[in-house]
Amino acid sequence: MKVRWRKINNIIHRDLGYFFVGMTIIYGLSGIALNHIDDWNPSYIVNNEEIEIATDDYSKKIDTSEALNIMSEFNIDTNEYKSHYYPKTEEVKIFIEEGSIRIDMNSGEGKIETMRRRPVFHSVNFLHYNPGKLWKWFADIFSASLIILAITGMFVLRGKKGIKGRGAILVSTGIVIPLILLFLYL
Amino acid sequence: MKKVFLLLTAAMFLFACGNQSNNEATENKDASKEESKDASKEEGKETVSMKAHELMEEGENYVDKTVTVEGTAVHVCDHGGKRMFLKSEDSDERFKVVAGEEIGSFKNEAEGKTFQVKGIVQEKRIDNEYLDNWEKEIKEDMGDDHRVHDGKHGEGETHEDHEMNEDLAKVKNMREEIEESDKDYISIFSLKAKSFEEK
Repeated sequence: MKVRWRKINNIIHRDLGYFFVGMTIIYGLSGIALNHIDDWNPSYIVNNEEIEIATDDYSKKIDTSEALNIMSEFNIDTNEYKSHYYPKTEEVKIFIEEGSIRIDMNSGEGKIETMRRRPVFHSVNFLHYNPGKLWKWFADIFSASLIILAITGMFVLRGKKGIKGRGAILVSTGIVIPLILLFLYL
Repeated sequence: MKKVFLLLTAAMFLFACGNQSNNEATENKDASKEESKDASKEEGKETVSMKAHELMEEGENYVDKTVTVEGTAVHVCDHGGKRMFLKSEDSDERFKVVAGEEIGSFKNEAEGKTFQVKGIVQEKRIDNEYLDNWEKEIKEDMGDDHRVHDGKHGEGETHEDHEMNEDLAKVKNMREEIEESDKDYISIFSLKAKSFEEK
């Protein structure tokens, strides 16, 4: 009996490809998002609003009721108050639902920062960062499958467009480019 | 015939995987038995509960032990939520908590809320050799045209310059702490969290 390697190869390539469509999109999207982490916050939409308070109206070390007053001053629902603390001697940070208020109690200047989960990207980035044991296993299987997909992919077609023709040029170009970049950056 | 062959190959593949996963499952069962034994030992012992600032002060007595720490989350690491910083009501010092495998990560929404976190205390020792290397790295990153810290966020000083100057100031402070201590290192304690609950 002749073993039909190409057929088995193609079935493995096809079915792994189908099975991992979701994972490929998750890692593709989050890969682009996290590649540009210096340019944006990939998981949250952050809004900053500059504010100023009259420091004379408040103590240097504000208590909860004063924190609530500051919130009211800027029309923030006081039910959103979580807690507050002083990250620096003169700077207070009030935690509110979906954000925080930072104020320099010397100058009275500060900002309200609100953060909202970025649709889709928050979820894919969350998964990309490996949120738990089960995900780690599944992601490992996916990574191993990517290697299998790459290898089987080279042998899907025969002839001029296969690995002996056009395939050879594309595969070698795809290997040479990272090598050149590695040489440039190292 | 071809179909039979393919099915056989697939079955072999599955069997191999299944076998492996069975072995793993047995190992996992054994491991979880061990874990639960350890856990019950710990349960029997009753874990120590303390405030974040207390653990920062008395950490050396609890290294590698399971404790429960209480504090308000003042920062969750933006990138993946692997770290969270707690502070006690009575102190503004921040205590680092690292998400263990059981937790995976902390959510940003945790900021401002108070938690009780159970985990294992870890110690990182920082000595002069560590600080020498750190200082060398900071200076290399700054390049030749770096502006050395003068205590102010000066005009023309970039955000990176400012951060690096802050790091240099940290190195200086730690050197002073080592000099003042009776050991040739300082210890930084953190908690590898196994579980947590909001208070």
